Amino acid sequence: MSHILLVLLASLSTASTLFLVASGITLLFGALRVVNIAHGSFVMYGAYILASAAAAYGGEGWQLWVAILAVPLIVGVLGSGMEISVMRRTYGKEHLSQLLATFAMFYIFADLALILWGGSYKSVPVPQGLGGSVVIADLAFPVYSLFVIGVTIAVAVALAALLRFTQFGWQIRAAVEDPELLAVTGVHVRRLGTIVFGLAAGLAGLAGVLIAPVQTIAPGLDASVLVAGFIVAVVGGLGSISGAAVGALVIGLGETLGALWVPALESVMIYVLMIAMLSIRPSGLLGRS
Amino acid sequence: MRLKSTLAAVAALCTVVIAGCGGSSAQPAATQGEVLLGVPIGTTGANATIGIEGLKGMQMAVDDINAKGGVNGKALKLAQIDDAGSAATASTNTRSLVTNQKVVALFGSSTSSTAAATEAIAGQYQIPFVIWAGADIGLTTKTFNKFTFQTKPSTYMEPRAVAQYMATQPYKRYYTVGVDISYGHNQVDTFLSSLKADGVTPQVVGQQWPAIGTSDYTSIITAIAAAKPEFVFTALTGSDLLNFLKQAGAYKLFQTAKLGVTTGSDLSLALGTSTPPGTVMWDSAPFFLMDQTAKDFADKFHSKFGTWPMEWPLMGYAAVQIWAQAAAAAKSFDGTQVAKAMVAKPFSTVRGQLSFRACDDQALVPTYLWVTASSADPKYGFPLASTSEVITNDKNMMPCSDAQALQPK
Amino acid sequence: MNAPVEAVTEPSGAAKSSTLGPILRGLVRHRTLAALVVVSIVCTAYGLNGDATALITLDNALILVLFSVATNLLLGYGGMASFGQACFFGLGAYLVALGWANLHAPFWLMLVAAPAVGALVATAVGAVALRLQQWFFSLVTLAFSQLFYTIVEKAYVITQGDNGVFGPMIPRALTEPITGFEFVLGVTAICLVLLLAVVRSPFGLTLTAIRDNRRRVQTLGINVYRHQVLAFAISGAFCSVAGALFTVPNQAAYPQLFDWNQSGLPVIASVLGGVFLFEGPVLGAFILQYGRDLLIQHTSHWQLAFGLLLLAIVLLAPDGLLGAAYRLIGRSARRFLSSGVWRRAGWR
Repeated sequence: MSHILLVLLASLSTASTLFLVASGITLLFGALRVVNIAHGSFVMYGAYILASAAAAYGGEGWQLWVAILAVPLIVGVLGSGMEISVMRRTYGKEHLSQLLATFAMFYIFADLALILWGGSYKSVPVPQGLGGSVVIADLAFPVYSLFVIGVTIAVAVALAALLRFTQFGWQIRAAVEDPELLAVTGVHVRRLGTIVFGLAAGLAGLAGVLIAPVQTIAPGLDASVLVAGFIVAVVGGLGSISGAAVGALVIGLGETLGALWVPALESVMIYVLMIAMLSIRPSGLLGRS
Repeated sequence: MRLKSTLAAVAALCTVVIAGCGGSSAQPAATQGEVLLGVPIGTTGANATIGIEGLKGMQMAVDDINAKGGVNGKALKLAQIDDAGSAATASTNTRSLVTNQKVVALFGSSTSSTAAATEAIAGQYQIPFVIWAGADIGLTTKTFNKFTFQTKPSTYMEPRAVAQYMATQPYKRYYTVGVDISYGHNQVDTFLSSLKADGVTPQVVGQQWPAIGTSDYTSIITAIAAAKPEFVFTALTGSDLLNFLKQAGAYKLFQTAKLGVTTGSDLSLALGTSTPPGTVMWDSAPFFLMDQTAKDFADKFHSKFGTWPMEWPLMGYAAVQIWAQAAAAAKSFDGTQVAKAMVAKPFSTVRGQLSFRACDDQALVPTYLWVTASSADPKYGFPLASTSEVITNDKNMMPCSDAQALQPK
Repeated sequence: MNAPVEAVTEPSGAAKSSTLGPILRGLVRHRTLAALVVVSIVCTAYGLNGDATALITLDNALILVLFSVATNLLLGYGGMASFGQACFFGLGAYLVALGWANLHAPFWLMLVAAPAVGALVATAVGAVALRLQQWFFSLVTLAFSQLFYTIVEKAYVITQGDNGVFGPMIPRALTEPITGFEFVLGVTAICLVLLLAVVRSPFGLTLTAIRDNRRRVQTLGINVYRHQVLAFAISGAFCSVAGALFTVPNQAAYPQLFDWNQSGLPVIASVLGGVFLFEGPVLGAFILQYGRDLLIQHTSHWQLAFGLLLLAIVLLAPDGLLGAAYRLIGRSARRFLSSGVWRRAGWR
């Protein structure tokens, strides 16, 4: 009985970071029709920049908290920068051109990371006050994971509110529905694109910041995060943020239960899920056809 | 528009050429009076620590040997190319080292697959290949050639050594976590069957096989916690092991279950004071459990680099020592001569006396096993051993007849 | 998509000449074959003089050429951006490797089996993937690539998993560098000619028509889906042959041959050279192979160089390097021919 609760919490914890990554991917696809292969790179940069901040200021104290708030903004700016310098030039072109441009950026970001931070592992300590664990019905659950879940829920609510109640949010939703019509209404679609890219990158940066204390930061993080994020976004429905949430929960639960019941199939399961979803219902669980 | 595109294409080509020419790490070439030792090993990727740390040890050996006059009148120099743990890249790099840079010996590798790739080329070009990391049993059996020498306990030997120790322990409920490649499966299967051969019938309450490179172990940890084992045997390495331990620590998994891990000295140094106490660790060269030569080496290493050595610098140092002594005994750098000298007599190295047996070029080397102390040693910054054992492995090597049956004809 | 299949215009002043014009016009029309012949001659001359390492790099370049041209059948001619062709490449390599390791089957049998098995598997994969379009198609092919990689790694009892398969899996004759090179060149040349025939055939023309205007072709009564699946099968077959050839210079097969990085290589090569030209991927493959091998020796930052190059091509020269080169040549040739200089020099 107790471990059912543990399973649920563990699934939520896994789902949280998956949601943050997938929401950015799905936002970019929905609003800008961009499939961003470099999205995992944003996550990795978030983690690396935080690691540098932790190394510079030490793991304790208020500087780390400032970094946790600042790094997603920095990565957001990086994303907007990429949009202005690279993506803008691809909008009129073939879809393949966009895909390849982001593919090229993936390689460029990967190598820049090697130059900036080298190839060895980086490590970030769990922020002071969030270490330790909570005992839930005779099994221990890390406090930090609860923190991650909490932050993600807050961000998800904020994102939903942004889309529902602000003009900027309406413009994004309108862009998802019909970008041409939106341009006709006089909305500055270009600037919208830059801001959306920044927002998506910022979400990815936040994901990077949150996972940094839990796992080693090393080259290859971009690829592994990217694949997982894409699968979640596709399963949930490319273009739908609530789909990303549902997809994250499904995948998070599936991974946790899969490890519990059928450990042998764990590594192939996600690919099979993605292929199955794309074959049966390409628009995903909550996407629009 | 067209002019712009052609200009752009030309400019782009120039980028490639310039990047190629103005590179940061041009490969060394041997000058007169020098011989090159090739090191195709990963210094980036999941097992980057092996390459980075091992190279430090190798360079120390090269410096020490050169200070005493080199080998056969020539100075030694290392030529290393990074393969990021990819067998494909290792293959290309090794071939380049052998044919372009004309290395006289090869050393490696960060994974068993890159070791196999290098081994194939070493055999093809008849260059001695001294393996100091990457211990899959296949290297001395299925893909064996007589130019390859294994200085680490193989995946046949190591789990047998661990089972030998675990048979003396009172645990019954076992859980295994093995990385989902042949290394992981070999280690776990061999461990369990050796336990049975030693008269212990383990109750395996669960097994996990995470894919290599898994970063999120939450679901696995939850499954382990739910099964309430007494002992968790792991066959993970590098960043996988580190991630698993960091995450499991947060779930307080190891207050209820005991943990068994390989590459113990890597882990202790990486985790420092947060190394879980009471963990069963094993390793091929933990300096704090070895004799005075190893401890002196550790002091030298510490004064040079500011950190204490994991097993890799010792393994790398010893590998160079072995090859240098063999080349000196053979009075030549020729692969066949050196290979003959390698099996002729024992070598004295920073790891102690070491010799290869002729049937599969496997060195008879011990596995060091210890249980971590409850608090960190003030001098070293990580917990040393509360109890320890040196398992000599003489009974744990594969019988020569079996090995030769598996080797290519 | 309104992409030109032929990116070169004929020199206009040529109509006035009597001998030079027809020659030039013939060259232009048959430039693909001409380019292939030239490349083969250059390769042979270089190969017969080169040392073992140079030959291995050349072999790998030729294998990448075949891989890329086969992928470009889908990408440039079919408008289908598949990021999963490594599935079939790895399949071909493992057929040879496991045929040797597990079945002790002769190399020639496996080489012939490669395109057959490749086509079969590609039909299955294509049947699923082609039910989707554009990005979803690309994503599914990417997922298949990773899936095959994971399966091969996991099924280590059959495939030896992460260790890969190493050993003398090819006939002794082919281990000799020059013989091996001649074999690889020969098979590649034959396959390229076959692929050229496919592209120029009615099937191929229908494929480009589907790329340009799917709906219109559908109204003509052609089963677009079946057409595309067939193209996928053909591409898969030739990618498998490339994979089987891979074992000749490398005598190895490993799981990374299936992953998405490997899938990306022929796409990058095609884009670099020019997706709308048959011989575009040929140039792209040579640049990619030699560029990478050259860069790796001098710097560890080859990823940066190639990322920048790819970006530059994608943004500024979507015709690829060869497309740009042809345009440059075409423009100079036109200018030369209409300038009358050659006539004044006495040529006819």
